[in-house]
Amino acid sequence: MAMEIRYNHVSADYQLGPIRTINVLDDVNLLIKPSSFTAIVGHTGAGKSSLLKVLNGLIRPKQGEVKIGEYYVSSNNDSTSLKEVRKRVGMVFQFPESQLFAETVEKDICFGPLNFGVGLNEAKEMAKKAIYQVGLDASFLQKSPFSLSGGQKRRVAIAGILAMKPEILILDEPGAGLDPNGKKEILSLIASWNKNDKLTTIMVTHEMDDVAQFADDVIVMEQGKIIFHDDVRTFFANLDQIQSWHLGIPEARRFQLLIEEKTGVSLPTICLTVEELADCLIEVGLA
Amino acid sequence: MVRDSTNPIIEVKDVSFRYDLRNSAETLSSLNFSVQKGEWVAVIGNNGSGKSTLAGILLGLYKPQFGSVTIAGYELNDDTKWEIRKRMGIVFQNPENQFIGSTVEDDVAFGLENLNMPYEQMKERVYEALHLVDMYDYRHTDPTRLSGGQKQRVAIAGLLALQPEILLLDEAFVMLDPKSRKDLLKTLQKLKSQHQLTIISITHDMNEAASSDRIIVLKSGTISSIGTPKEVFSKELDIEAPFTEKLRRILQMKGRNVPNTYMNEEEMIEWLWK
Amino acid sequence: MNKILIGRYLPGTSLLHMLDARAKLIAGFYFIFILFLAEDWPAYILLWTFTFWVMHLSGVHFKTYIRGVRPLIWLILFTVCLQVLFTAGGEIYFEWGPVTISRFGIESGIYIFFRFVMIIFISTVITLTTKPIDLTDAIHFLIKPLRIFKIPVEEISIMLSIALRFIPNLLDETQKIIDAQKARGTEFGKGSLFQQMKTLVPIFLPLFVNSLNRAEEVANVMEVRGYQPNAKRSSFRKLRWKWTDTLSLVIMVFLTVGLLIMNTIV
Repeated sequence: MAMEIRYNHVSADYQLGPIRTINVLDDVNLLIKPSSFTAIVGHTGAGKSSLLKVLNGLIRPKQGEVKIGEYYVSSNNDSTSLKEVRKRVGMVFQFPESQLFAETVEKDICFGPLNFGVGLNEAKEMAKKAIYQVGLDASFLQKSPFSLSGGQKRRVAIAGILAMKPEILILDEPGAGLDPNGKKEILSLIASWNKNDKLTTIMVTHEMDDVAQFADDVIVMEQGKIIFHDDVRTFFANLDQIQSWHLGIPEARRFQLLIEEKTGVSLPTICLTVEELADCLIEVGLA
Repeated sequence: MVRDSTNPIIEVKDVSFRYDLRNSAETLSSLNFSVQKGEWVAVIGNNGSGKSTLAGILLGLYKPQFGSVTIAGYELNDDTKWEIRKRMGIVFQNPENQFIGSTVEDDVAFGLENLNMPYEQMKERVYEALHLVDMYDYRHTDPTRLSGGQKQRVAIAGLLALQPEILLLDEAFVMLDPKSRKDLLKTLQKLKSQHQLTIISITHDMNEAASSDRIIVLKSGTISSIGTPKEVFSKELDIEAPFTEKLRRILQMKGRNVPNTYMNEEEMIEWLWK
Repeated sequence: MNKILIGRYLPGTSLLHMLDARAKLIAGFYFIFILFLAEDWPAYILLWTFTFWVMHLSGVHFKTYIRGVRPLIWLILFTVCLQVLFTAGGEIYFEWGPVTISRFGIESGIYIFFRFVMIIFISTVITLTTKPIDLTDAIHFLIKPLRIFKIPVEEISIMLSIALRFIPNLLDETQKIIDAQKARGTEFGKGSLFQQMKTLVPIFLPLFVNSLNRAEEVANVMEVRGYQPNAKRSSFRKLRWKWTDTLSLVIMVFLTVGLLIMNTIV
């Protein structure tokens, strides 16, 4: 059952000992469509991680509420309803491999489902499915998570979230620190879950090439506020706006602009990937 | 840029290394290459190719079972490694674990303290180095308030304070956001030409490798190619390519009449315009 | 974690902030020592005057100090009760079995309370007005003589300063792991003691592994930056002793004299 996500006038802040920070989220209003792939961009400190954390109740809104299907997160949730939310909103933190702790990969992946009341045998079944979903095979299940490579550890961590069968997957820079091939593989997997399993996907990222290639919609945040929310092509259309936000652009777009400047020829569309650029260049006869 | 082609500053001869002596598989096998003074050499290769092991060997953290390494005139061994480390600085990939001091200036001074340098001299070097990386205004800041890119700048300052001849970058920008990566690369290029540094950069970033003087490609612990970016990217078809090469390959696949060799951005635009 | 005040530095420009960390440490320890010289209420009045004066000089609100006492209040009251109920002397107000409430008992109970609170206040003043790294430098200076006993003073010092530098990272990592396991359905603080302890394994184990990895990386970084444990090292950070620091020690001497005088009154 596809769940819609709605932020209604959400504001939140942090308490750090005797210091109370300014609002990390400032009157946020958002609608995220089910099964969409949304990228969240913005500078460090803009509130991106907080936007994610309030979605599964790790941060409670000071004001307003977040509705996830028929569940909600507000300043007065009790822990039972938060548990219901967390069952459905799977969150993958940055460098998720640091959360691995069990003796075997299987035990670690089962941790989530077991916490949510799934029986042991069923949990093991889910673990087996999840390990394949992340592109590994069953031989990994009995290995120690600490014996794996960085990329494999990350997949195991993500499998641990997928095993909970969430309907919404939120990810904070899933490709951080990986080599280009590893990053490509993880992002392709994430895109496939979104397309094939209709998993609503929300991803914080700095890499504009990934936004161009995978996202349907883009949210731009600045100082706790949402300053843009629209589809990806609209986002990349207005170059001045992107520059004023001090954000980068995909390699293909950057090169397209360089070509247009140096040759004086205008290309028919906004090229976001290298394939689109190739097609455009062929179309105008430059290549 | 004048390159001294007869005077290698680094020479690696026949180096083989494995972590576990019980294992017959070698992490690095019979590596042979040299780096000239003033070059920017990129070392690329997939995970498991042995890149980081190579860095560890150059730094004297691991000892090869066979072969020899000569750096800045010293043959690398347990005694000379301390001398070598005064002449070769390294930037690692994790900005956090590299930051030893409690403030920016303290961290830059760490390497100088290890040399037992007198205070007045340290002060000069520290402030000079901080100016070179534009971090002087942050000299009293503690690391919790710095971004990853800023911390890497401080790491670079810490090396520059030693006035090294060689800079070794071990995937130094992998954990940074794209903008910080670009900025730091520019800073390094500027510093290299100002101070005649030799730079060895172990990297995943193909666009960065494309702007180096030479590229060493490692595959499963051996050198698969050494050459200019043009030579390497035209030949090595299974490694990740820089952007213009990706474009060239797609155009070639679609049957267009593109040249068979790698072109950098200027060359590509020139060809498009014809 | 956030409510413990001792150990938290608040930047400022008060006179106390300007004092050398060594002077503050020495004066602090000395104060705790002479606390036990006080014999009767005139002496305590003098000590309290001194304490309040020092707290005022720090520029930090009195409420903040009270908040620092609160976590320890039960320990203090417990000790005070022991004194009040089980020591005898002077006029006896109430007696029942081993319990004796006497004038002496009440008085010494009050004095114990005073001493506890003053120690907390003065320690808090020191940690509020002194950067942790300056404190470790001061400790380094003061334990240097221990070198005679083959104690590795330099290594201890650098270990302290590196540990300090990474404490915020450790706290962040802990919070991150707690969040990650919460997101996987862990509930903390629920169930029997045994169940609650079980929920700590997914926190401590990754933390432990992470810390070990971090330690190895930091050790490698230190080595390639030229650190050798037994080699002579210079120091970039300097503690500067000024006339105000000498003055602060002189004030402690005056305080002692004043205390002895107060003891003779009454």
